[in-house]
Amino acid sequence: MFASSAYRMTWTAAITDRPLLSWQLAGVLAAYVAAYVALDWASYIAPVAPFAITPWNPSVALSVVLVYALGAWVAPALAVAAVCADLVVRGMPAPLPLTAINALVMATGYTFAGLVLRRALAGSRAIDTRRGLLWFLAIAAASSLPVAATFVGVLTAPALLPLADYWYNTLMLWVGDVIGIVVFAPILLHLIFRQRRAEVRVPPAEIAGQAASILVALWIVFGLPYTDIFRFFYVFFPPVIWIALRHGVLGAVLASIAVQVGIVIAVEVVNHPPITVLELQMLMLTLAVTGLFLGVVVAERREAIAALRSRDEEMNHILRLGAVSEMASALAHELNQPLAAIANYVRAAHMIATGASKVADPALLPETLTKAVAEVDRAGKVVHRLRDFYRTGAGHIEPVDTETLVRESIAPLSSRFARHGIQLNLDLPRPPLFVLADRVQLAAVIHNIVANAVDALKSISRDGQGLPARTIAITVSADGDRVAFSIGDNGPGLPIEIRDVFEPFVTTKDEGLGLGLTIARSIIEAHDGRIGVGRSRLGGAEFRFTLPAYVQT
Amino acid sequence: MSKALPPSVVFVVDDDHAFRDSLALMLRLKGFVTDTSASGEEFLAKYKPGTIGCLLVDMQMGGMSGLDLQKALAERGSTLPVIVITAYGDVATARAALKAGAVDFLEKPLDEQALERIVAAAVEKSVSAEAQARETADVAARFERLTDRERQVFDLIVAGRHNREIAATLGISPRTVEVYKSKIMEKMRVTRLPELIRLAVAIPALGKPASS
Repeated sequence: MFASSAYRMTWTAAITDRPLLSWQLAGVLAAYVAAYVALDWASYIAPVAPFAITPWNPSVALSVVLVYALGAWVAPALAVAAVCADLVVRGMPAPLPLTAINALVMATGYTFAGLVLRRALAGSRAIDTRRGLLWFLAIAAASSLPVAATFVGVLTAPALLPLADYWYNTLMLWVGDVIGIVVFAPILLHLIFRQRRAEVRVPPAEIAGQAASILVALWIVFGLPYTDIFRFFYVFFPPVIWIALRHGVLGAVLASIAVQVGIVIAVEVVNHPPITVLELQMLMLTLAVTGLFLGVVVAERREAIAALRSRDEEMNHILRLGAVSEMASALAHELNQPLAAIANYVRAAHMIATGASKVADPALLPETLTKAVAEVDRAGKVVHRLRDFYRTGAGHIEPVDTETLVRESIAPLSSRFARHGIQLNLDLPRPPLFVLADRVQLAAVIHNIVANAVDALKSISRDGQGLPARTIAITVSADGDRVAFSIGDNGPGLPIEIRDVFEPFVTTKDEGLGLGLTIARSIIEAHDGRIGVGRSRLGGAEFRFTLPAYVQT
Repeated sequence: MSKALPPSVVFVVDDDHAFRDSLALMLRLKGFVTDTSASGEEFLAKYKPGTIGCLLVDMQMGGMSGLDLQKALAERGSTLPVIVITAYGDVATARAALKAGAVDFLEKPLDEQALERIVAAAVEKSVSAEAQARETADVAARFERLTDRERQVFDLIVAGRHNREIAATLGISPRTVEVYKSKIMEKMRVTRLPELIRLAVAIPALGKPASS
């Protein structure tokens, strides 16, 4: 069952921000009945007189949406509205018992439709997905068919309507109800549950053009004497498609309503026979469904783009932060050097100044202070580089000696190599090749990959005799106008899908964010390089990347 | 007598010019003789066995690492005390260095007092070890000059035998034992018997070749 009271609270909150009191609910129901009667009166066109069988019944959309919004308990109001409309609009052409039975049939059918729609659209409160739209169309078609068949049956059984026309009448009522729901219910849902979503701003001139295009289409189809309305009906499609593409579901709904109202006015003026109106309405239904599907697809696409964009921004932010923290740890060493030297120079200066020095040289104090200042400058430059990187993502590109680069990158790992008995095979060309890169960022990449290799190797046991020693091989070679780096090991290889390792948060380690290789990739790509991973000849994983070579002139 | 010990030198090996220069300056102001190298390779090229003082080496260097340098020195039988310099809080590196035989470690940035204390202790250790080594070598050289008969007598003296017992054991007269004894004392450059015994006790390896 549906928790109608809870739902009512939510709904009322959506409109008034506070629960409806019972007199307000009564007011809503009264307004519904009045609106139903008024709409029935306005849409009582091309009827199978004198009954409520017409090819356009937007009033049933009111019933479905009322149940959708308030729940099954409003069902009696639906029956009351049907009886009232029959009384007011048509003077109740059928005997009261039959009118009552048909009111109950409609109330039952559309209460059911409202409840199913509520479950089908659960949570979304708007027809803005293809799945939701399919449900909506299916519910509209499936609920109104038995209602129409029974309704016409109730009037046909006592011979108030000819039996021969049973199917025709049923079809008329069915199409009228379906199109009434399909064209009218979405705008009601929109008005009740006002969705705050990022609408694309469309210039007023374009909106005017869109409105004009519908008027022009109506004029072409209905106004020109030499155009056949059926053969020219397609003229309605371009404006509806245009509007749906620009405004999404809401635009499609409004365009459909405009065309529908135009058709109704036109057929009233020209006084077409009901069969013509029925055929027109079937065309109208295809137009409305087309517009709705387009609108939904546009809405979904916009949603997807927005989601993608926000995910992208989030990702970039995380990557930037991650890269900065990687940079920071690489720079910690860089910064530590000048700071340690400054501390030494200042202490030396202090010793000289206080006479604690065992060397007496008057030139020594200014010389020492000059050196200290030079180191302060150096430390400042390191910090500037970090700040530049954080601000722009760019580094300090310079020709980098690959041999020094590799050796410096792995120097901090030397104790780990020793501890885990890892043999390091370096194949570095002499004279060394140069690449154009940010030395610190590149060092972070190499360090990260080699550290991963150490982690992979330390997980494997080398207790058995005859097994090859844990090995990491680093090769640097010329590759046309690029320099290729490869870092392989004889560990267990990559346990996860190869194409996934560069994705964020993919990790095999218990600790760690799984950002290292993601950052490595973004750094390499920022250097106009490519990074990939495969199987090493040693048996484990091998990371390869290329960077633009720097040729000394 | 052997010649005087060479001056002890504090060797600083670090690939960062400013750090190496500032550290050497501080040590010079504290009265140490210093020598700097930009890499392990550069230091090894000028290293001579018997160098005394100590070695301050940065563990994080491009090229030959501090640990590699420690190993290379160990292979050459160096007794030069090694003090490693590690990044602040890098316990793993410090432990690896100590395991490889470093006498102590200093963290960057350096603590002036700790630096002076540790370097002085290492230099002192190096000096005394070298003095010890030189004495051992010196005594061994003197011992080498003893004849086989003198070594036999030396062994028996050190074993605490009296002249008469030695004479009986070797089938010579006590008077002859006296002569050997004075020759031994002269060659070993001692004037009193306890000094001779101290040499023998301090250098237990002595006398072994003669008894075989």
